[in-house]
Amino acid sequence: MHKNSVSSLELYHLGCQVWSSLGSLQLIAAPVQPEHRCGLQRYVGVTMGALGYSLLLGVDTEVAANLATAMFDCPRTALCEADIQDALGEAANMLAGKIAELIGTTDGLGLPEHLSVLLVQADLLDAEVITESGALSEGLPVYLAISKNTNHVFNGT
Amino acid sequence: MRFLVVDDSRAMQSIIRRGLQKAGYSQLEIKLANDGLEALEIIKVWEPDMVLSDWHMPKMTGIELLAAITQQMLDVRVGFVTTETSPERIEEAIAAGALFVINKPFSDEQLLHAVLTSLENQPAHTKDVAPAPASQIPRDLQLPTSQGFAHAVNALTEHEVLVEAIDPIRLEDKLMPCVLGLYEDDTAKTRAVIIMDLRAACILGAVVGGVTPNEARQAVTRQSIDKKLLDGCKQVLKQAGDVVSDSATQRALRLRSVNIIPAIFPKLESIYARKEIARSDFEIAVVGFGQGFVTLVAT
Repeated sequence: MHKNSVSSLELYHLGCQVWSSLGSLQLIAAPVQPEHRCGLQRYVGVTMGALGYSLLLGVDTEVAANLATAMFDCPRTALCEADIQDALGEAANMLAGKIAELIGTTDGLGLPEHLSVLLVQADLLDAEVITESGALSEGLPVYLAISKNTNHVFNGT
Repeated sequence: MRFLVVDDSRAMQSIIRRGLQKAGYSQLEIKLANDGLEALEIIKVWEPDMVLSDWHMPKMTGIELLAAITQQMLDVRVGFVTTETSPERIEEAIAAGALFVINKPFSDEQLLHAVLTSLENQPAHTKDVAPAPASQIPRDLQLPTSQGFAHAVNALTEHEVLVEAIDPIRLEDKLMPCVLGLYEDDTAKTRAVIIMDLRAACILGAVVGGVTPNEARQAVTRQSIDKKLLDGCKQVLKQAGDVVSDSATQRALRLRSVNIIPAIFPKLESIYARKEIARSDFEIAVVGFGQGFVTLVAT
């Protein structure tokens, strides 16, 4: 059964599914704080098909490093910056895939793009945020949002 | 066994590689590629048994890679591990020759199930179990008694496998997943089907394959049978064919294929639904391992 929207709770649950699939990581529900929208250290965007939706995943570096540690199954000290970016991008990719399945978009996903805080700020000024959800991963904030009309950001300009 | 993992994410390559390492292959070789173009070059030189590819990748996507493999007539099996969930895209992949599509995120069990099933069945054709026309049934088939089945199985192991004939088992979801073997006669016609529930498959696979009771129990718990257990199980299935014979020719049947079946499918239901058909149902047990069910059905 497909639908055209995703609730905040559904978005959080999809995030939980991705996190828990990556080992012993867990997401705990938490309210969205204004500073999470563009005040975290790392953001990844993924476009989701013809509906014009995009996923934005925001975390601090420590959360991204924990994801990388779980996905590469190696100690933090063995990871480089590219590994951390790669792991965060893949987590965003998986989350976007789950969302696309839920909303039933028939077009493909874009590749994950790492966005600067400045781009995210510009994007959120113009974009229509459809749904957002907050969470904590090992006590650190995670921001999940589905927005519309974010092409200028995801074209990499 | 050679696997080529194609994904532009090294984190995902790492996850898939760890999953494959749990399959139990004694000689496992894994190579990694970042996109379809790189994969194509490796396939030509290295000739892997299976390619596990992402869909969305730069330079050459997974579906473009599959098309190139087909066009260049490269002999390799391909499965997708992807975030792509669109039914149209999945149909496109299967139509193009992909053996399976696994969605990310996935568990190791899901990955191993898809890979092992695809490698055991080249290709995985459940159509082989289509029942014969009614006019041809019954062409007599001698199915084993419990003693005959026990004798055959116990020839393979030092453990004592206890076998007891029981009333026909209903084909129902709780028997799934199961291991299904097909037997053919000299004319390559499918004559019998054997079904082992996962417990029976793991127990018999363990006692023949030298696997500990604990490992067998773990396989049952995670609802997944690994390569070592499956190899042991295949020995049992092969041996069981020796005690199923065509009444007319007195020739034993030959094991044609072994499938891991995740769920009941219509053709299997139709075989079980036929009242006139010959069948043998057994409960098997091994001390310290547990018990399970085996059914042999003439098709």
